[in-house]
Amino acid sequence: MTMASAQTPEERHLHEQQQVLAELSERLAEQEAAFATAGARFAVFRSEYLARFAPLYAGLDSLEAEIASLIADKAGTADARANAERAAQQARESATAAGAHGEQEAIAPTDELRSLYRRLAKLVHPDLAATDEERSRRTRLMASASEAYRCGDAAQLQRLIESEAARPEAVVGANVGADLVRVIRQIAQVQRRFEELVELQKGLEGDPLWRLFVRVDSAEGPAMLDQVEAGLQRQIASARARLAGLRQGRRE
Amino acid sequence: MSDDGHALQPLPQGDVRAPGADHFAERSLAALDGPGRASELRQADDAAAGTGESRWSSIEAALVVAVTRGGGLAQACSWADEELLCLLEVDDTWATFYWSQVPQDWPRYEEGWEHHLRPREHSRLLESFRDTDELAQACVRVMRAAGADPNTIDVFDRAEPTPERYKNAVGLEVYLRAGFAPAVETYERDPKEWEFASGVEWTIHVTEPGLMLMIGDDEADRGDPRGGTVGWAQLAWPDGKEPEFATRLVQLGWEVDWHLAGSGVTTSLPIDAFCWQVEHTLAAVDELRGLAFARDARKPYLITPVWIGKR
Repeated sequence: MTMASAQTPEERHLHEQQQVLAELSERLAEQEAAFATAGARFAVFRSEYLARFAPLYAGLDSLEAEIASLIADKAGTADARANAERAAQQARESATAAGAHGEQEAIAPTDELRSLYRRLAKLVHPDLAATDEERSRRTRLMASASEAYRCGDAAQLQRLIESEAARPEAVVGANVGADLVRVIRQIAQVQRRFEELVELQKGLEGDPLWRLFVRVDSAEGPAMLDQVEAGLQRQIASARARLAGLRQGRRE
Repeated sequence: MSDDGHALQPLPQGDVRAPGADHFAERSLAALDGPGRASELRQADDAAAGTGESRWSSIEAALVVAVTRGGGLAQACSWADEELLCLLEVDDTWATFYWSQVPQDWPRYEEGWEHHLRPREHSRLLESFRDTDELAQACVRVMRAAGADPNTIDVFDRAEPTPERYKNAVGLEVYLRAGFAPAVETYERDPKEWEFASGVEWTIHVTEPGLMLMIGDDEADRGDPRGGTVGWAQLAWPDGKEPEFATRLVQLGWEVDWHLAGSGVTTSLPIDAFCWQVEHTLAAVDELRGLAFARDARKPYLITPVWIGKR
């Protein structure tokens, strides 16, 4: 006689639903970890990209603003002045952005980190909570986990896992009916989270920096960025030459 | 998800979508997507990497044309070897005319800061004045001196009533008629800016080795400290290509005075001083072949080939 045959119908249904939930939880944890990994790698890319390119763009925009200003001084036309103002505005925005982002750093996630995060997500995912109170607790816990993940703090992730596993509340209750309702709700929550992840992904695609990250996230990526930088350096050199010519012209 | 927000959202928080960062990324994406010639060549180079051939090298062996505010074609400079580097300076008269009088029905003409022209489009303009004259004869003489086959070029006429502005196109036509097929990129700036800066640059990328003649009509133009000097700076290394150009020369075995690669020097020296520096630097190369640095001013046309052998 199997264990299942000794169960009541509601117990069998609960068991089936628990299996469904377990599978969904596994998939959700995997997707969360994948998403978190992509996010962490994106953070690294963003940090490195901005450190490398923001000063170049800001420098180029500064040169172009100076060029536009000199031309406006000489030409004295409304168009030239408007162009100079636009260039100056662009230079200010680029300088601000370069200052805001240039020194940020991010840590690339390791396999160990990813594994720990995945385990923790499976343990404490808020959408697996049965009550609002529990969901809030898990949300805070996952926020801590996400922060530890971004910071590359594997020890903190491990501590969170151990702490969670030791909680008395981790023991499952014996009320089949209540358990069944709880599991059904948990499944619905997990499915909603899947939908949220899809929406988050869509939102990311509106971010130019994310699109650039996806674009260069390949073996050819470094060469592509080298190409962008080379082009930028040429523009800067050209702008410097033009500016020197303008300054010399003004002296004469 | 709870009302607490996206606690699971693993992406960097805060200013990730700040306008500046977005703008930088958009510009980088545009650089990757752009139709720029350099990008195309780089991609072609990458594609050819496995074959041992590289089109990228052709860009350094390119004909580079700069337009300065000198008032005439002042300088001519060619490097003759298996590969030729050719430079052409053209004047702002033409540029001004170009901007205001270029046929509006040119296939790719468009008002704007930048546009591109292709040789076939130039050829339409040149059809009307192809004939023999002193310029063409002089070109042929120099072609022969260069060891090129003058039969491969057509002779043509820039005599009256050929508009003055066409003379530079004539120079281009010499090149085209010499059997080469350069891709042409023309960069134009606003004519108002042109009044005060070096303004317009042409960059002609030669995809095959060849010879270009530099044709000028006014010796005095070389004395223009502003136009001439700026022109030379951009003549030699237009569009900010100084570093890669100079690096490439070194790779090819040339000696390069790195001072020449800095715009601060090249834009502050009088043109003759700059020419002397070029001459002095390159003349120091032991294995110079042919003429070290020959200038042959034949008014009204100044044709200045510079023959420098590769080491």
